[in-house]
Amino acid sequence: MSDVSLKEAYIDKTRRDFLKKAGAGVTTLALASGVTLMAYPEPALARKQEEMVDPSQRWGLLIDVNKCTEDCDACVTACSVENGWKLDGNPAVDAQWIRKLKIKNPRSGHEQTFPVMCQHCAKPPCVDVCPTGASFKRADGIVLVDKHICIGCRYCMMACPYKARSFVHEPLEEQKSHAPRGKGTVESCTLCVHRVDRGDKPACVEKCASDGHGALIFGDLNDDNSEISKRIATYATKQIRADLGLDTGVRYQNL
Amino acid sequence: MSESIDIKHTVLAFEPGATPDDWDLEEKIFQADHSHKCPTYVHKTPPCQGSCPSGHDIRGWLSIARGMDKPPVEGMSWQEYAFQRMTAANPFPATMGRVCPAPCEDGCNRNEVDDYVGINAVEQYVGDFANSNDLKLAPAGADTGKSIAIIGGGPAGLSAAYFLRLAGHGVTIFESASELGGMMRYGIPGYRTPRSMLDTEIGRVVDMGCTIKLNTKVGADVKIEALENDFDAIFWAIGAQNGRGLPIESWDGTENCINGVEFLDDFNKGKMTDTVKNVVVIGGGDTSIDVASVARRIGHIDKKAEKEHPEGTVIDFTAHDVAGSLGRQGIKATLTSLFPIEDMTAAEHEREDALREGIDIQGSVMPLEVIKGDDGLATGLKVCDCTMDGMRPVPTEGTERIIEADLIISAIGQFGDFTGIEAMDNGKGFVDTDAGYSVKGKDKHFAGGDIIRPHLLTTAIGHGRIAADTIGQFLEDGEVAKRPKVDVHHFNLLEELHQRSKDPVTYDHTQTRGTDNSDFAIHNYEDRGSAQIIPHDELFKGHFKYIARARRDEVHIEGDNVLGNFEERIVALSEEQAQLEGERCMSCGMCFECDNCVIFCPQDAVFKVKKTDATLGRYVDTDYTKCIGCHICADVCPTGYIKMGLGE
Amino acid sequence: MFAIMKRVLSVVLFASVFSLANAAGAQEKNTPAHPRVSGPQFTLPESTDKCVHDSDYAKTGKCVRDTEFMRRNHMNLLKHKRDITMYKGIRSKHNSLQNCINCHVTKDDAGKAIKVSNSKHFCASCHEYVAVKLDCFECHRSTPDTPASTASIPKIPAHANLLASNSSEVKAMGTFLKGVAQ
Repeated sequence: MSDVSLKEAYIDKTRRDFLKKAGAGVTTLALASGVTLMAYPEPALARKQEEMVDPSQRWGLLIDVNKCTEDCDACVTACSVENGWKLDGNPAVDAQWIRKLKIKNPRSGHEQTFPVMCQHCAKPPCVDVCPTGASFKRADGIVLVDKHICIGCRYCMMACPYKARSFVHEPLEEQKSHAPRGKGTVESCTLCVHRVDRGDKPACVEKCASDGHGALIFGDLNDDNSEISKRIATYATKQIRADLGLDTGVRYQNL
Repeated sequence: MSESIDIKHTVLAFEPGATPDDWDLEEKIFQADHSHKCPTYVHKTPPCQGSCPSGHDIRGWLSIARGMDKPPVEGMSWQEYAFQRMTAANPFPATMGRVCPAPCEDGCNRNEVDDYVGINAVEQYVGDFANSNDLKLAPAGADTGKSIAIIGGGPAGLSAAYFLRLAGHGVTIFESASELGGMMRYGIPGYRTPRSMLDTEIGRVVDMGCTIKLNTKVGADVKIEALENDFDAIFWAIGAQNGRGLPIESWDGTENCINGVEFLDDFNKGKMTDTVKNVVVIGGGDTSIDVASVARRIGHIDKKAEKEHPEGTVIDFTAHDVAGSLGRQGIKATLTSLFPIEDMTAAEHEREDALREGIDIQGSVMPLEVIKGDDGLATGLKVCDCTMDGMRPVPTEGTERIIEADLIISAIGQFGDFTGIEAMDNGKGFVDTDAGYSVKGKDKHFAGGDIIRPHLLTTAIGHGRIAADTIGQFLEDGEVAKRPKVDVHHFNLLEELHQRSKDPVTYDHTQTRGTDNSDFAIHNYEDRGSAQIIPHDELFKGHFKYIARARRDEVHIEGDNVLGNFEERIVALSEEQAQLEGERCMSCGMCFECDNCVIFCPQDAVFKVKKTDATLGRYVDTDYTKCIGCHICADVCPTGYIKMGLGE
Repeated sequence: MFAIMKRVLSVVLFASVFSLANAAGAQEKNTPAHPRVSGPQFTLPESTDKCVHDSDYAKTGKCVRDTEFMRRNHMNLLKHKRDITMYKGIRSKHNSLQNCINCHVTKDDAGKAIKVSNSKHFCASCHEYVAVKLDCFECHRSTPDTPASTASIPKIPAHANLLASNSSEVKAMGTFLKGVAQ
């Protein structure tokens, strides 16, 4: 049993190296000028596991609402598979990591759908109110719940303007080893921090891309050369409830 | 596009980088993922009450105004109930509402939200209501057989008389003037304290059964020894009747150089002359500033709001009153002060008011010499600009000039007149007392008011209240207890329960089990009112929206219209406005029934007490079997009433 | 009788080791005091054996530290390492609880791993005896990794990103590369 896990670790490492080389290979092909391949693994993502989080990075998401269709919930399914939660059909107590929202302009009748998850604010109200300090913002901008010290008071759930958090009411079994979750604590989107820490993208981003929509983009907001920063600089994007002044890490295009 | 607006968060569990380890020991609630504390209800004194020298239960009567504390007697109006609450501390609400500089407003915690609560305005409203509706003070207590002599029928003396009568002691007031009122009548002009209002308020105190001896000056008409023989205690409230003259050449002996106290006395007695044309008033006091800054310190207030009564903020009260009276007589007055006034915002309002009435205020000016004519009367005052080195004026070279004047009034300080009673003088023109206002070194003698230190009206009234209590204790057994740290009227839960007939059951002194449910005790309530004042950072201020303070209208009289106009300038609030001001009160340190704790408790542990058992201060309770100690209720309590405890 | 003495001795030893450690002020590498660690900052005492990464238990007979040390201090190590992972994002092998579980497994007769609810579980066996409630496994798995527990959304091959691009040129390139990869 232990051999398996060790092997997996080695496999992970070598797979990453392989991809690096593959990516390097792709970019040597001649391309039309000005076109940047998104395939090239951005240097910022590759951090060694033994190293501390890099505070000069700030992870963010960019969601292009136009690429989001009403009948698709690939991101939600991907998240539930990745993190081991499922919906029981009871909205009052269901897990809340990511959900699809549909809005309609009452005047024009124009409808849009888009996913909403924890916005990973720079000034998170959930962190402000948490009485124990369990809700915290990591140095690279990801807002997490330290379930070891969460007392389950749900103050953060009250404080979050995006209703991004949920409380686990039932005892759980067979959790994912990379996403522990349990009864009596509050949980929310972690930006797949276990994936980010090994250089991958969050599950929702990955699935949306592999399904061919590419509505979600993940990257380092502090890196001017990253795809996401370039897009934000080029196209008009907004934060939901920007008036609250929370400076969210998740931005929406064409909303 | 700017998306990040700088919003001030008023609920921050941690400063960035801080953890529960950085909290005070008292505040430490959590150990990793569990907590060992639950909510308790702690009563503290708000800074308004804490800084009121007369010790009003301000929060109490504001909660009556907002309708939360309902009168216990069927059919009683809220104004009457509020009047009862006010006069428990200070018998002259209508006067106070007009002339008190309101240190309560300076210390009001709401300064840190939007603007202070108009406490003074509400007081004036209730006082006026009481006067128009002929409300009475509480009746005198049962006769104790003791008799106390009160020397001086001013605010301190009348206040002492009132409280002594409430306790049932006999009172005789010796007043050297022909009417009662002291500085309220002879110091402050009629356009600020209307005479009819004074008569009504003073009359109430007299109607409690005081013996009054007018036109009787102790020291001349009556000797101290006689008082000591005939009375069980003597309270000196003679005020500071003498004014300081200017310490410059040619002042002394010049007939038309007088001090402000003298001037006001004459003016208010109707003895003004018409021949005077130009007057210079030299005034430089900061009584009001020091009172305001003490109040702000008590309340940890950083923000200053515009004051309603700017008089006395920069220029001495006396000087201001003098100039005001002169203006109305059509006499051009120049008011000078050693201190610069250009840079003080509070002074703007005062200066504008004064200018409107034809008075010119000049700051940073020091008097040098009186210029006299051949007949020995002053014709002008030589002044120059100055800068202040602490309290000493430093003249600025080359700025000397002469201001024409046929009356020069100095209003730079007061002290007592001890003619015939030199034994009471401490050598500096005042009387020395201890904390309870017993005169040092003299048995049976007590003192209060300006004679101890010239200060506000409300201070004098406060002295009277405390001295009356001290005298009462002295008469009982000679032992006077130490005064509490926060020496004001407090909310008393037991009294409140008693008033509503919800007293706890009498304890039958047998061994009992399950005392946490017993009904012979009040549970989980701590009264720290007499020891602690609650600062604004213990409140959840995020609960309060910005609501503009109801301002009292002022009748602005311009230039020539001032002549002969002795009407009041301030227009009182309406009933609705007074109630709205009551609602702005944040009820610091006592529950004000907002339901926040009930709404926000995630465990449904906090519940509203049944109507039949509930009173002010017993509105919510906690089911401790359900409480998880998350302290959300303590966090969202806007009044800071809920504190986490029980776990140590 | 002897057992009791041994237990008393171990408690005394623990106390003395702890106080010695505080006096020595030894610090683990890579772990400056982090602001969000609640409770006292724990400094690990020196032990007679060096920390062994990626241990081969069969060869050395030890993993993180020797048994006596682990018996007394495993809870502190766990708390320390969980903070490192949560607040600093360091997920290396010797900070991973799952890694401990993967090794410390007891199998039942059918060869299946035993959960913590069964008193034969590695942690439960001792904790039930000393009557100290465990709450690690409210959230964490108590059995080693399975394919289901480690199942993750696969990382897509590079060319898939190209297909999702806006540019037609890039899309064409992507299709070409897909063909190449296949």
